[in-house]
Amino acid sequence: MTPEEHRAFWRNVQFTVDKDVVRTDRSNQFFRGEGNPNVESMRRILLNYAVYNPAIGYSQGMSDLVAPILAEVLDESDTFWCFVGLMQNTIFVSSPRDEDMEKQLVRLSDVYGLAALYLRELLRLTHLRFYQHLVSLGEDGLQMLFCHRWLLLCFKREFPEAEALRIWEACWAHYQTDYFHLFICVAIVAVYGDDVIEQQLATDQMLLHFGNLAMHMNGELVLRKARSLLYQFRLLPRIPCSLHDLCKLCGTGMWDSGYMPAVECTGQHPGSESCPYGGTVETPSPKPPREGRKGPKTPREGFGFRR
Amino acid sequence: MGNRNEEDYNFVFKVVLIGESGVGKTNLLSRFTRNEFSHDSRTTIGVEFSTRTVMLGTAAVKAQIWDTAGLERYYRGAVGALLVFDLTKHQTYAVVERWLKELYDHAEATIVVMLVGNKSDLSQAREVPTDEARMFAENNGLLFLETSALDSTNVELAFETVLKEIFAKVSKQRQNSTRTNALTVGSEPGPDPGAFPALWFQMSEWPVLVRSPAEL
Repeated sequence: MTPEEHRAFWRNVQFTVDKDVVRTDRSNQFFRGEGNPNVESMRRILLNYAVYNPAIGYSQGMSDLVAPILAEVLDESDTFWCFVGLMQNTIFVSSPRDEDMEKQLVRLSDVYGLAALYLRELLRLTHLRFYQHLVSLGEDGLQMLFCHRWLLLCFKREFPEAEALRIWEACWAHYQTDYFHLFICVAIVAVYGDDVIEQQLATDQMLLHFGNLAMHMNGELVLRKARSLLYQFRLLPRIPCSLHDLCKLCGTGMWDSGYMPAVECTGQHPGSESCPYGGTVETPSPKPPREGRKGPKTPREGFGFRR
Repeated sequence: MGNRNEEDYNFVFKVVLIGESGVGKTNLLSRFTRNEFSHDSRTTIGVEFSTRTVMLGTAAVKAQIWDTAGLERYYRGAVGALLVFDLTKHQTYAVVERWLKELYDHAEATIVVMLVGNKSDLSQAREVPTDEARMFAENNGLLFLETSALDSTNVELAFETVLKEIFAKVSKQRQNSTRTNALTVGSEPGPDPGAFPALWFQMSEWPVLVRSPAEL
C-alpha cells in the first residue's frame, strides 16, 4: 500500500467502525443510551483488532461478534483477546486451512466457498431432495447465499440472543467435529426447508424464505436436529472424499471409538484421477458400527450416498 | 399508486438500494414496504429484501427491492437502482461516482438510477447542497430526490418515480417490438429512452397507456 492508500484504508476502517458500534446490540441494556462507555470500549477493541490484523482490518458484522463477548467478559483487554481467538474460527479469516482441499476441488476464492462446498456435500448425503432442488437452480442456487449470514455471524441474527449464544457454545465445544455450524445449517434446512422444495422456490425467493425466518426459528429444535444429524453422519459406513476433512481436524477426531468409515472418491471434482481416495479405500478397521441403544442399525434412507 | 394483493401482478421489477453504510438504505426499504422506521436498525449483512405490489395505471407491478450492503453479485437482473447518500455526511456523497461505476459494471446498461439524498429531516446538519447533488444527477442522466425515511418525506415518491420510469421503458420496448413484428413502416422514432430529464417526475400525470395491461 502506498502511504496515500494506507491513510484511506484507516480512514475507511474508522468511519465504518464508528457507524457500526452505535447500532450494534442496542436492544441490550449493556449498550443502550447516548455516550455509553461500553460502546466506546467496543469501538476501541475493533480499532485495535484492525491494527493487530490489518489483513482483515474491519469488516461489517465483526461488531456483532464482539458485542456479546464484551457484555459477558466485561474487561476490555480480555475481550480483545477472546475476540482474536474467535476470529480465527470465522469465515472472516479467508484462507482455506487445507491446501490439498483447494487443489483437489474447485478453486476457492474464500472460506465461504469452502463452507458452501462442505454444506452442499452434507446436504447431498442428508437431504437429497433439497440438494437436487439446488442443482436444478444451477450455479446461483448452489452458492447457497441464504446461508451466508448464518455462517458469517454464527446464527446471531437468526435466533434471539440467548438461543444464539447457546448455539455459539455448542459450536465452540468442537464435540466430534470442528464443523458443527454446518450441521446447524443443514438442520435449519431440514426443519424449515420443506416449502422450498414443495413450492420449487427460485434462488431469490429462497433467500426471502430463509431471511423471513430470522428470529422466528426454534433454536432448541434446530440444535437437537443438528445433534441428530451429526450422530447419523458418524454412523455412515462410507463418506465421500469431499467430506473427509470435515472429521479429521477435530482433536482426537470423530471416530475415536474404534470404528472408522471408508473414504470414497466421488469422482466429481477436478483432478479426481489423482485423488488419494480414488477407488474405495478400506481403512484398517473392519469392525461394524457399534449398535448403540438408540442408534439405527443401518443409516437412514437419504443418508446413503452410494449408488 | 395503490396497494394490491401480493400474488396478483403483471410485472416484477427488481430494484437495488446501494450506497455507503449508514445512509439509511434499510430504513428507506422498511418505510416503503412496511411503513416502518427503526431508530435502532442494525448493519445489514449480506442482503435483505422485501416486496410491495403497486398499481401503475392499470398494471400491477411487484417491486422487489434488494438492500444489498454493497455486494455487486446482487445487482444482476436489476432494472432500477436507488443510489443513496446521507445529505448530512459529505463523505457519503463524495463516493457516489464510484458506486455508479460499480453499478454500471455489473447491472444492465438500461438500468434506471435515482440519486437519493436521504435524511432531509436533519437539514440543520446538511453538508451536501441540494443544487450540487441535482447538478450531478442531471449531468449523469440520473433521477434525483431528497428523502427522509424518518418523517416519510418523498420516500413513496422516490420509489414510485423509479418504478414508473422502468414501466415506461418496458412499455415502450413492448410497443416497439409489436411494431416491428407488424412490419409497420414509417413509425416515429420516439424520444431516446436514455434522455429523460432528471426532474421529469414533476409531470402531473403519468402518460395514458394506449394498451391494456393484459396486452403488455
